[in-house]
Amino acid sequence: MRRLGGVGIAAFDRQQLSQRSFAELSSELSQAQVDALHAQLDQFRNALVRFASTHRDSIRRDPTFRHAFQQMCAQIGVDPLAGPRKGGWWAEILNLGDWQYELGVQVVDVCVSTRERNGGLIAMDELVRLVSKLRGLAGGIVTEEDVIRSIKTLKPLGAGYEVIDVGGGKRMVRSIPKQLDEDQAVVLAIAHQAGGRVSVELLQSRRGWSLERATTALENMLLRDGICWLDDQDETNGIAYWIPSAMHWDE
Amino acid sequence: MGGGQSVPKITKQDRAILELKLQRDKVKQYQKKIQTVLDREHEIAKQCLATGQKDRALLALRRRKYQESLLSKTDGQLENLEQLVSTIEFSLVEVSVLHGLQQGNEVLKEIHKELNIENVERILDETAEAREVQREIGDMLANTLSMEDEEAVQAELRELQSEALGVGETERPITLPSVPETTPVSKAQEAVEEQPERARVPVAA
Amino acid sequence: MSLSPHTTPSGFRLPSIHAAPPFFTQQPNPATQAVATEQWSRLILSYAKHRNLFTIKVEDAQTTGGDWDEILRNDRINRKLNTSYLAYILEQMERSCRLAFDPPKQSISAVLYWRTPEEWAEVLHEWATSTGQLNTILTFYEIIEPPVPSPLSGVPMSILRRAINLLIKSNRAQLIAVADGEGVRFLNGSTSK
Repeated sequence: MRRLGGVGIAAFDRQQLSQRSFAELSSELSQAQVDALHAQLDQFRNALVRFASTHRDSIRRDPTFRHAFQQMCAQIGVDPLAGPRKGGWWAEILNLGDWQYELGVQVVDVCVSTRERNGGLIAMDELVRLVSKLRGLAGGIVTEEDVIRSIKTLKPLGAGYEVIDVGGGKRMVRSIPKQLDEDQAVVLAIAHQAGGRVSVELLQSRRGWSLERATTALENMLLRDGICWLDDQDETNGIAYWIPSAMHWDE
Repeated sequence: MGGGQSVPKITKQDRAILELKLQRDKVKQYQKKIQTVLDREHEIAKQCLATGQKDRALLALRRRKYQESLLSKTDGQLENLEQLVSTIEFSLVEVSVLHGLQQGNEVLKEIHKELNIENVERILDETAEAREVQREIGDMLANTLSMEDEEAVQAELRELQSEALGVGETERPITLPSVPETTPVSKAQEAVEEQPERARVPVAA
Repeated sequence: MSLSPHTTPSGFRLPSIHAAPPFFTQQPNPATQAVATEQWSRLILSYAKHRNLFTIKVEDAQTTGGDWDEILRNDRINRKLNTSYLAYILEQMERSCRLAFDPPKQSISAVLYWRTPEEWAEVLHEWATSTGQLNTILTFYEIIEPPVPSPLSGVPMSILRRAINLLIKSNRAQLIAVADGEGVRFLNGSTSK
């Protein structure tokens, strides 16, 4: 609550600077204004706190309720899930920041532990599935949207996590800070259709790419980015490339 | 080797046992080798027979027979060695048992020193005497009471008995209701009067 | 296609990555290869433990009908490890102390450490205790070739030696040497128990 003063006092400071150059009388006036603002803010905050703490469990457990709450907050320009850096009191009172960070940590956990086989690229539904598994039943339901929000909260940390749309309603999360070019996105989409396997010949026939273009895209993904694995015993083409994040893994 | 104090010394017997066991292992290994040769010769004989080389098959079988005789010889040797090893190991056990018995014997002797017959007899005598004295005291107490004393004791006993049993009996007659003096009519009226009152209470509640 | 674990005829559960075709190719990307190496190392050790196998040779990758067929090849997806890749994996495993080339100074045949020498030392002492062979003089041969199968049946001599040396350090074994060879005597040891 102490930290809340930040916004108000900053505004107050600015105002006061300009007021001081006019007259002391007007400064009194502005003081009254600021006080009123403070009181309003307090009231609003208390109401919000009351609401949020009454419904805390629902917010944490029920994804639709959480969604509605977040939308409400967004409309009034408050981000309840912003971390301690911004709306610290939110995090303290609601533990919601913690919830989001906890989810963030779990997202990182899954991304890092699967990175070894997928090169840092994971399908969104797979990520949600693994995170849910990690949280167990008691953790409540987690949606793709929650994961996306968590990834956003991770941004200030410079983790470089990013959500990519690969088309066909499929989203993937990339946990290594490398840029995917357009061709690679195409390769990803094709791999998804083909159970993870792509080859130069496949790209040539499906997309009409030149040999050079297909080879470059694949070699970049293989050598530079480590997103795919090489298979030199392929029956049809001799050499094939496999994208683990597009393969279906039964554990 | 550091801390040699907790490691037992290697005795001549230890070395002898080890040598025997090593010999035994060698025989075992040798047997294993012969066994593989036997199997091989058998295989060769079979192959030769299949290709019609009867002579060579016979040769292989002869060699096999010879190896077999070696094997049975080594069996005997192995048995001897193993028996020897077990005998020595068993003797060592016997030695340690003997050692244990000896120590037990010493302890037993020490204990027996404490437990000599004279001591036991003396203690038994002393206990018998003490018991006799006890009995005499009891007798004396019983005989010294006069008739009066006895009666007084009996009276005290009766009193104690009646106290224990009779407290309730003596008091109950007092609490019994006295003979009715009023007419029974008034009692009935009282009861009638009381009843509606009692009835009213639950209604009110 | 779906990658799922598979149970081999010998009852070993292969991880799902074993059904991934590229798993049998050496990876040009070093980070990816590090992952593959780790997976292979774990797979080889756990399979060795499952089958009680102690040695692996580079040539096991090309022989059929050998002990290692179930993991070095996957006929369901028609893939197999080639010898140069297996040689690479073995070298990496040697670096992480998960095997030792035996005999030393070559790199085609190795002894696998699916138990560390420390763990083997414990197994050895436990075996001697539970079979009532403390304070008895034993030859190395009768430990690794016991008439009754034991957890130590078939343990390579190099592992046995290392385990015994560890026990000697903690006063739980004593080495006895005679002209013909060596023997060992296991002792109760001065551990807190």
